[in-house]
Amino acid sequence: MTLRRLLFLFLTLTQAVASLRAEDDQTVAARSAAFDLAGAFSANDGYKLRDGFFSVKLKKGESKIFTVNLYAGNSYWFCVATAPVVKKMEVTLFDETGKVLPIQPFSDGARAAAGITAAYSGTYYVKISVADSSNSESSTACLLYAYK
Amino acid sequence: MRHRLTPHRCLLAASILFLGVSFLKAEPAEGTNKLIVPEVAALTKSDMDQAAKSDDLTLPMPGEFFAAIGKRNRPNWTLFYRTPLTMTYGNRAQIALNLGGLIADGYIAVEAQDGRQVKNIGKDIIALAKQLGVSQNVLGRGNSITDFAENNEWNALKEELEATQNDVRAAMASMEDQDLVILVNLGGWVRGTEVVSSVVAQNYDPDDAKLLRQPAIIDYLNKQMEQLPQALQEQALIHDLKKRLLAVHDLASYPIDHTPTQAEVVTLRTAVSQIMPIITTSTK
Repeated sequence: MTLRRLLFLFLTLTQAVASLRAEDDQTVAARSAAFDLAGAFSANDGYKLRDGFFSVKLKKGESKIFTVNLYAGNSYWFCVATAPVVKKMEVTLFDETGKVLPIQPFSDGARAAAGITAAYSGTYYVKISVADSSNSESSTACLLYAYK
Repeated sequence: MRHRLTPHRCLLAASILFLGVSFLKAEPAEGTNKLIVPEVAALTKSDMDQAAKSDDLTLPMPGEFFAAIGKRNRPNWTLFYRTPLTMTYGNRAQIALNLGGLIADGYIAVEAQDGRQVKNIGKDIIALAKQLGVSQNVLGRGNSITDFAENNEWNALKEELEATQNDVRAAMASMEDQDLVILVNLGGWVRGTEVVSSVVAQNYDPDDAKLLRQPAIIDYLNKQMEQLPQALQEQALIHDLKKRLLAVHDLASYPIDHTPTQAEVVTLRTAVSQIMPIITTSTK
């Protein structure tokens, strides 16, 4: 193995580690911002935070749909946060037939939330979308929810 | 004293207004926004079929179920305490199932605001976790549960119980016991449904009865059971559970506009209650 090859291998490995670390940092930052947002509902309005979350990488114009199961009469806030390069994040809720549901919206750049009181017990869908971003790279978005 | 509107004062007033609006925007509070219907297309069948599912989002915790049932008529949660479990199980699958059930019991004790019961259940959770070899991860949680229970911090306890379950699941996954994680979820769901169906059956209320509609959750649990390794599926315990879960699916799959009658609720409760002895009876 020549010195040049060794150097190339070293650089490739360094890049890979840096990329992995960046991804982790992005996920941690997105999760922290999402928990902060949901924490406001918890502190102000007595919502209880789910400990779990889901993260996904999205570019401008991309979206991801999640299945959730809600109980009639409970109120929920679905909160999403991503990197600050994202200028507008959106959260939309749908019933089990795919129909768009009325929501209480919250939008603040890279953070967004949708509030709903479940009308029936069963499946609902949550769609998160990157509506606008200052670059074309993908960012990690983290979704979680709070209920009461 | 008269106040003149100088340019400086105008600027100060505008700055305060701007800061106030920014603060409101950063700190969302209920009631600050009206309901809106976003102008987006409805989901297609393909969208819904491909929607992501995960334990953390798709599977509600027992606490969510109990929060819903406690809204209209506060049940006497102490009626649903169980006698202490034997804690001597012969296989890891059964321990995982009972761990899930115990976590659901923790939520019941929190709903009853019974600190002593919460602490007892916390100790049992640690004891079972030890048998699975994941106690180190949940030991800290056990201490927190005790502290919160002593200080009557009921909301914090609900979050701590879920965090405990997540720690158990994460520890199992790291020990290549991923297969058992579904059994923790299943144990919790069965115990939660047993209690809620009992509450509704004893004190029937049509709105409460509608809470028992949960076909998608049972589908999700069934699909995860199908993915268990063959060796595990061949265990009599798992085989029996799968069969009974399918039967419960049919009993809890009401149409969206149907209100289950009291007789239907009793039938569901009976079916779910028959699952619990299979989970709790020691095979040792």
